[in-house]
Amino acid sequence: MKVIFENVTKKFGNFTAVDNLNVKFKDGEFVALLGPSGCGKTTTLLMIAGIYKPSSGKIMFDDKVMNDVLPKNRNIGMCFQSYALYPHMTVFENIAFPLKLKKMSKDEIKKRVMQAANKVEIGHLLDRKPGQLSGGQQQRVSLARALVKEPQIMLLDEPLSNLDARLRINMRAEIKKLQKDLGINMVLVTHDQTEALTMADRIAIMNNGKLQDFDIPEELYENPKNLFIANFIGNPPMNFIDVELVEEEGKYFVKNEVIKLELPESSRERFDFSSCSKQLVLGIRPEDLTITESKCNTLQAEIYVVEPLGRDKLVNVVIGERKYKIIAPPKFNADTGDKVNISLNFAKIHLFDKTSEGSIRRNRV
Amino acid sequence: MAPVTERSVMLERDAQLEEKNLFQKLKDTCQAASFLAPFLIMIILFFAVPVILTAVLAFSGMDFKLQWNFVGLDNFIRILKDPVIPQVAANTLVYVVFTCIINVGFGFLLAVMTAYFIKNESVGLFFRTLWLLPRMTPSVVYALLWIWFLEPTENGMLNIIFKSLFDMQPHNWIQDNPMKVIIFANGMIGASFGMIVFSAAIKSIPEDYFRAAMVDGANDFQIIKNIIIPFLKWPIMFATIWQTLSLLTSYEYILLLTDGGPLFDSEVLSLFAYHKAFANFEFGYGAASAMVLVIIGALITLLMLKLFGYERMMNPSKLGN
Ligand SMILES: Nc1ncnc2c1ncn2[C@@H]1O[C@H](COP(=O)(O)OP(=O)(O)O)[C@@H](O)[C@H]1O
Ligand SMILES: [Mg+2]
Repeated sequence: MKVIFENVTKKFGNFTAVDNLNVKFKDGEFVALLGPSGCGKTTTLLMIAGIYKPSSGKIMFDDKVMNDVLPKNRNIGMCFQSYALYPHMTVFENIAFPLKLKKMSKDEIKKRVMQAANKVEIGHLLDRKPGQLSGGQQQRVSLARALVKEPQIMLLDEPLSNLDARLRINMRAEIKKLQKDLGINMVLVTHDQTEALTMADRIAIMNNGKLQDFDIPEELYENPKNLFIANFIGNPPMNFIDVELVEEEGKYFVKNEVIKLELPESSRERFDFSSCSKQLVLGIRPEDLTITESKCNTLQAEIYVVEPLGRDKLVNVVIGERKYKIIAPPKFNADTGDKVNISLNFAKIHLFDKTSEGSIRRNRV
Repeated sequence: MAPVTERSVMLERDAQLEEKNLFQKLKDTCQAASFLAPFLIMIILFFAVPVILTAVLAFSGMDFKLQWNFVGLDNFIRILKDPVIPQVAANTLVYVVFTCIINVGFGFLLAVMTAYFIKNESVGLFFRTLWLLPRMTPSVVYALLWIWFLEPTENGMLNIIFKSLFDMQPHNWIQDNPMKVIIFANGMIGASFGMIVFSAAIKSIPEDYFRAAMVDGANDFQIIKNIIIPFLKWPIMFATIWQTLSLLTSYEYILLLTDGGPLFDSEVLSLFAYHKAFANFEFGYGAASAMVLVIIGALITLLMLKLFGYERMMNPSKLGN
């Protein structure tokens, strides 16, 4: 089933929670709605569920406009951040509730509940009350309750945020597997970029009620369209340096009070220098910086602190007044205060217009 | 030698704590007592003293001469033999049960209307305040409103309505249906208590439960049945017991509306005690009737606490897990 938003806006009084959203989810696609807290993700999800009505615009499932269709007629399954398991019902009754409301026969209900419960491995918990379950088990019950209806689309609102770190990693894989097995649409709301990057086919990234971009994880990571996306996606986050673009003897340089770097020839193909403003922000991911011996076209920095991450080391350095992060191999060793040179992988740099915050990358044809 | 397990260490620590606690506990008790003192004095002054006085009075034959002549169990034996008591007891039962049903049931309906169906906070509040108005009106005024409304002449409000609708002759409503009138009047005013308790409880149900139920396919009626009522189990229980106890002992609207009449048709036990004491000046006999009420009330309370458990009763808002 395709899910289509056409100019969808949602206002609460004067406050615009979702601003002119235009987006199309493909049939059977796993989409993540990603953005900081309060950016309108849950509001968007609740509009798909039919609990909120758009203030304007259209929401369509395939060709059918859904704006006025009640939640119960939408064939959706939903998991809430709080799980919202009915505390007075047993696990069985919780999962059976949607079927009971459909007036299904007792045998059919029992069969379907067992199926759903086994799919998320809680078959042994059916007699318990939600209060007697761990967070992870409650999470599974809420998944089963959503699945039991055999919905066309599953909506998950921050499903993993209440789980501990290890469980979260396990559930990430399980939910993704579940979606692939069932082949149904899934919409996952999260503020955790790792979750979005690891689970979703495509990510809709939002800020202040506005859609920033909707693309596959690799593309958002490799070619962020604006400063917000560049900053939000990636862990540890991208380093940013305020620079000025100057042209000297046919060569382009970026510089500020403490640095001056020559941009290689190839960057002319990636970036549109002719029409952009001169005030830029240079972005580079920690893994695209290397600590070297060479003094040629590098940054001079001082070690601030080194954090071993196990697989590699996260080196914090100071250039001028500001701090930057570098991923270094595990054998790297240095003491606070040591002077080092840092070279950039120029093929991986990002340049953003300082005022519009958009990337000055050329659009690929 | 026993291995030092985690548990043995813990037990040792507990023992130490207990020792230290004895002195601390004493100090805490004194401190708590001093904080509670004003409250305790109030309870003693306004609750314990009257109960004890009533209890003592119940064993005396005190009348308008105000003399303490103790007569043992005579008053209680007289209650058992009093020919009007069966009717009074039956009236009390009918009055308490039906008024309580209206109180709680109607209060619940009002709460659902103003806290669930009306999503707008201030509109809901407006309607709730409207229902609170009779509460804020002095009882005499509220009773007078009913008397005017039910006035037996053709100028009575209800008579005018029935005449214009069904062309009916004027009715003496209070005279003909005394119990119905007092139950209805009391039920209406008492409903505001349940309404306040229940609407606060409905508001405190996390929004996600309603959303989950909506997505699961529930309509409004099913949401009320499957979400609201289970969540309000304890508030409903609490309101029922509270109203039962207060209805047992309250009589001011009955006094003002029917004065227990005609004859003993709407006389309840609390009003009976009042009449004996302050109309017939049989203070001893009135006190004995009041004692019976106190005992019934205490029995109901104990029964409820036993049935539902003190802990759970006192934490009625334990929502969710
Ligand atoms: N029912 C509501 N009434 C008023 N404001 C709301 C309501 N629901 C959400 N908002 C506001 O809309 C914004 C987006 O909320 P939400 O979609 O819940 O954000 P999130 O991305 O964290 O899920 C927030 O600023 C929130 O305060
Ligand atoms: Mg949210």
